[in-house]
Amino acid sequence: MFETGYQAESILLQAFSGNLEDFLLLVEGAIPYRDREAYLKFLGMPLLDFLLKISEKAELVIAYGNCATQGGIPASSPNPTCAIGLPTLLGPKRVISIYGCPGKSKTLVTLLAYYIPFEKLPPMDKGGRPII
Amino acid sequence: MKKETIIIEPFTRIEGHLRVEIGLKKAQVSSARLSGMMWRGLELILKGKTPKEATTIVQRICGVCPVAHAIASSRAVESAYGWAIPPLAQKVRNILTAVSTIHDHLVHFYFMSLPDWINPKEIKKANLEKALYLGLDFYNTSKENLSEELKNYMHYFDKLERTPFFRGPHKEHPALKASPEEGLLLVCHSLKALQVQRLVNKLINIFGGSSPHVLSITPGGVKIKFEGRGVSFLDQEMFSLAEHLLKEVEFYLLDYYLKDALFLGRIYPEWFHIGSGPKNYPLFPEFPKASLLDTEILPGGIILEDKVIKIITGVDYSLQTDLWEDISHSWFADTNDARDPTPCGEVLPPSFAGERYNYVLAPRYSH
Repeated sequence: MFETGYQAESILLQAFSGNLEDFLLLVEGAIPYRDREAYLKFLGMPLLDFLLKISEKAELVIAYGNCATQGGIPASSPNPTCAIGLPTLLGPKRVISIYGCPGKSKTLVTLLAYYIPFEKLPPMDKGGRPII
Repeated sequence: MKKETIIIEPFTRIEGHLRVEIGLKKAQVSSARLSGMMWRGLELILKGKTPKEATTIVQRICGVCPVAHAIASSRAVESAYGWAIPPLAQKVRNILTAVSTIHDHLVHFYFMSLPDWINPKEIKKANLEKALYLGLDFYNTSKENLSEELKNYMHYFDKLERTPFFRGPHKEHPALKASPEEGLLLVCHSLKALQVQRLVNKLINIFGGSSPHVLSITPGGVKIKFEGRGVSFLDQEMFSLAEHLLKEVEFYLLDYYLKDALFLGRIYPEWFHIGSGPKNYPLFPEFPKASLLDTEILPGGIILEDKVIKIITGVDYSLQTDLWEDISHSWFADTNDARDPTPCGEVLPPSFAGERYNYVLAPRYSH
């Protein structure tokens, strides 16, 4: 996203209220679960609520990188913010996981190159990882 | 009196989460608050781990500047144990620092800040003849080269029109002075920069093992084999590849990047005087030849209110007490002292009492 500030906010709010058609949600980074509001505020609301709502509207939800899929380094012991990955929050069936630190870019590009023309997902394994 | 605030959030072209709150009084800026909105507790995570793990964990702070974090954490462990690293390892670290600095500057200029100075929507209106004339006047290139370059990229623009760079809701504003032709030249070079930053990444790969988070830097030296065979080793072939890449990058930096920066500066000369802060900067010495105590080091220093008040060469222990971080406006537990106690081994838990707005600490210098 090249837009910043209110321009980015307006796009996000459009997506948030369901007025933006056909968008993919790509999440990077772990989600702090403890104390909801405390460790990451985003557009004046806890990131957790924002993600729960916006992911309902998204066509695809992709967790990109180890932090977004499992919690990664922020979730390592003693896990001060109780960081979790996106599949833990939304359920493994809703989320496509792309692992690696940094996330495997070839997998992401191949996934999009497969999804956009064919309008269906490539075969997936049990962990929600695309087999490509 | 009329009071207004401008809030800028989210920032999409940086690493992390930033919020800016600007208070206005009679159309003049009366207050400005920069808030880092995220806390991961990496200090708490590091506690109790083996010192060797620090370089791996700390690099995950940021995907733009991991090399700096790797080197800083390795130095912290080395100074705790009193280790000196081999001169060859220091050279590899210097190369990595320099190369990652190049990468940083390229990415910052072309992809994080340039979009704010031009209006991509206007570019299609650009007059090729006029752009050619402008380009020949300023850049070090021949007429044939430049016209071919511009034509090639104009061809791309039709395809790129739907990408965020071109469809962004840029607003008409009198301060956005760059003409379509000037914008065209700069955007052409930024597309080229996309290719060049790949070469720089390749250089980090050669010396660091992986990019962005490098594997080779470790407390005590670097994990690289210089002879024999193995999974990762640097031989003559790799060195000549690195030399070749570096020459290509150097050519781009001098003929395009430097000229582009001057070009943009010529369009917006008034911005050299707008929005300057308190002019306080700490700068740290870098690129030692063999050890941190070298005298032939690139010196650092402290600038307070636009005046150089201290020159730092090599390790300076007085900075341990003179340079500190203020937590009085940050969301951390209240202490009697405004100093952040983390360097002394005590990590404060977050707390939200009082007039605070930030997770980021503010560096201070007292002498």
